[in-house]
Amino acid sequence: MGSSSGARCDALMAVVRAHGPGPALEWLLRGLPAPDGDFNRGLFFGFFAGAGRRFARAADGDFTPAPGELSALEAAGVQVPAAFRLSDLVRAALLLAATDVLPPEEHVGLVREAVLKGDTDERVAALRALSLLPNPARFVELAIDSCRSHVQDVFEAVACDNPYPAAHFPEASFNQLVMKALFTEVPLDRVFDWRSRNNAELARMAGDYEAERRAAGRSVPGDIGSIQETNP
Amino acid sequence: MKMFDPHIHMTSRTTDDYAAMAEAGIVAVVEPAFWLGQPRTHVGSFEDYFLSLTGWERFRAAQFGIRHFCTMALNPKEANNPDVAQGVIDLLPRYLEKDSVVAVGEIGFDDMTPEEDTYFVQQMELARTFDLPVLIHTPHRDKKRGTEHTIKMVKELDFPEHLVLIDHNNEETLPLVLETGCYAGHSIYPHTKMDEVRMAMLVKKYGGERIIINSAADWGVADPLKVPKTVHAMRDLGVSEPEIEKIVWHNPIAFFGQSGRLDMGADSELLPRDQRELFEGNSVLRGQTPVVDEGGVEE
Ligand SMILES: [Zn+2]
Repeated sequence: MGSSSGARCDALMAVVRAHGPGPALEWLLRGLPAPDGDFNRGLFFGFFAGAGRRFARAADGDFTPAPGELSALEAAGVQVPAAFRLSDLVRAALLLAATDVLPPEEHVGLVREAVLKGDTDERVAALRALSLLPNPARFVELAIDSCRSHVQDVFEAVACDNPYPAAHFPEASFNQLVMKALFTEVPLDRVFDWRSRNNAELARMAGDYEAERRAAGRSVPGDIGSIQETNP
Repeated sequence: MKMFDPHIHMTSRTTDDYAAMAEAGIVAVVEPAFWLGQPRTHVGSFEDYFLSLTGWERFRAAQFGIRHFCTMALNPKEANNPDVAQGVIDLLPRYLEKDSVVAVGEIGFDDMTPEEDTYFVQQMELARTFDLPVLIHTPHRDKKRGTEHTIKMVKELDFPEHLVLIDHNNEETLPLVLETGCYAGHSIYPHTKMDEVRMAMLVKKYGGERIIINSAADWGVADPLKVPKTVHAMRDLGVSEPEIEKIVWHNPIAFFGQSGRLDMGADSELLPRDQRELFEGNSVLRGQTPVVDEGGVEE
């Protein structure tokens, strides 16, 4: 694999190989799309689904990458490696390998299917992988739409420890994401690089929310103050 | 005696059936994906059916203490429908990887057409790819020829025979299956296929090795208690208790356990019921007082 997707996939797979259970690895290697092979979409989603059971329960609990592996992942563009379970890395590698062999116009459809037809874990993994994929701005609608999910794990896969929203969301969507984080009591520290996207409208929304909470005699999340203080 | 009904289409049965089965000692069931009595007109209906087999139906069974597993496949009848066949095959891998899926099935032969051959081979390959055993349906018409053809195909594909369960056998076909390493299933029906006494006589003649029995109950006239009723028939004919237990418990567990996904819990007993539970907001109750067993946990 010579492309950047291919190189990234290799970097992720190096960590997966070091931590994955043997039979699961053997199985995965049969399904990882290869540049010289036929891409079978149905089979691909079988492997994408199966990565959960085969890697998650076996190893997620005690998956702790070594310091050298963390820096290798960062060098490969994984900005918050700690947010990735082993099965998330496997699924990111599968998506990277697929985008490496598919024509660019098919990438969005493939990732959409992974998110829309997957179970919660599959959605989370695909959304965590977005910023690693080629030309990631193309997935912005999918990411915005996923933030509307009432499943908190899906929302947090985009909103928390993920560089994608700060890098690609338009202001209105980014503000909605921050407000939903406040509403669902997610610490703002987990919203990657939110300070760089702070803006007057967000400060206004946070201020209104604060007033509403006070009027109702309820506590005010401390993060509202930081939004107002750091508003440029 | 604890029992396992390894072929029953619970989607078309009632909650009374679940309650009676649990009462009679049935602890676990396998529900093979099959046809719905009328042809489906698009692939999407298969997808919703597959989702219900791993979702709502599994929940419904657990509400009565029964462990529900399923098998997924394009069934032999609908392999002949070009509007859906290839689409279902493309859909299958994702569902084959779900937790409660313990085999590819039922695949096999109905009219013995070239299309049935094609999709049989493709699905045997899927079973290999996703490390699953296969459940093979044999035809009602021309059954002996269909069984011979099935065995020939399994051998040609060099598929491991201990991972194959050939179902709906009778006096004519059982000896053919027992000559192979495949498991032999028998569907005990009120009027067709096989009845309790004939089954008990087959066991007297051939023993219990690789023998499996099921009710194959579906939306037609059928009896979901045929496994316990056949246990009585075997006792009446003097089949030993260990032999009976092998047939209605150890054999199906050994076969479907080869998937690595047959989670029978620590004790292989009925699940503790907690009818306060909801599935996506929906209950099996209609105003009744929920039954809650000791050890039932609210999630
Ligand atoms: Zn059936």
